Amino acid sequence: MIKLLLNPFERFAGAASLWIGLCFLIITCIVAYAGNIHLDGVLDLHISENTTWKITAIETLLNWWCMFLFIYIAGLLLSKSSIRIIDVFGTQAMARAPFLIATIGNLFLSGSRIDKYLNNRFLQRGEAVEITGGDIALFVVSMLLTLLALIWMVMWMYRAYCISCNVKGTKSILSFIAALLLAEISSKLLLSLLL
Amino acid sequence: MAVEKRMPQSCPSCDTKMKVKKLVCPNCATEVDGLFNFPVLSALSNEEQLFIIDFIKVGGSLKDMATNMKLSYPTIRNQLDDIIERVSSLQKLNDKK
Repeated sequence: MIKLLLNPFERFAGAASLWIGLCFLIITCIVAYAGNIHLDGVLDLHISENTTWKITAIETLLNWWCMFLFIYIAGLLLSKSSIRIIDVFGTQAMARAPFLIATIGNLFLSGSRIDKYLNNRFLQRGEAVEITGGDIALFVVSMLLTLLALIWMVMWMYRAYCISCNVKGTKSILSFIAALLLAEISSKLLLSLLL
Repeated sequence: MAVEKRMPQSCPSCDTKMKVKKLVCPNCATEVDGLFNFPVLSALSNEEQLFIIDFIKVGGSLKDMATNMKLSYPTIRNQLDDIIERVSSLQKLNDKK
């Protein structure tokens, strides 16, 4: 079970991982829409006020496709194995599953007193509100959950890359970091152009 | 409990690759003396040899192998690629000698 949580791609790849990944992406999309959460980058999520179905769907798809594209290019350049595009595409979709936890973590914050307090305090938006110890606890738990989910997702993305492209050692770590950075930058750029 | 013996591949004293010197027929005790090379595949680990046997049994289908072993296709393909790389390097090493 622990092995499955740390590296599910030894067991799931190809079409199976694509379907599992798509299910999680759709649920993440619904939660993000319900909580007014913007998924504006491969590793980003922010609470906002004006989210629509179209925006959350485009953000979800672009984040996944940007990561897939750079991982696939890295695989083509570095791997000696014959890579199947469905493995890279599917495993990168499934690797985004932990992001659902981060989105749920932020769902509790969306519209909460702490959200209003932070908006008023740092963005000078809305009315001033008083916060309690419970609000701070909610904020800390949500942030920890988000951080944990992000680390988990990056770990899955890396494992998915190693297995789907058969890349190992230092070159796998360096090329993954490069692909992740490029995907993050390009997703930000594309989303700012499209939305 | 029966102990599974493994054929030593290299000399325990100087690490040079070993050769087969004597073969014995277990039925009539006929002995053949000479200097024979190990087959390349015997230099692989037990797991790698079992993998090759399973691979042959499923007719070389990575998909069937992945289903039987309850592993994903790329995991099996990566294992096979690792064995291919190891066999290639062993063959190169043998060719040099």
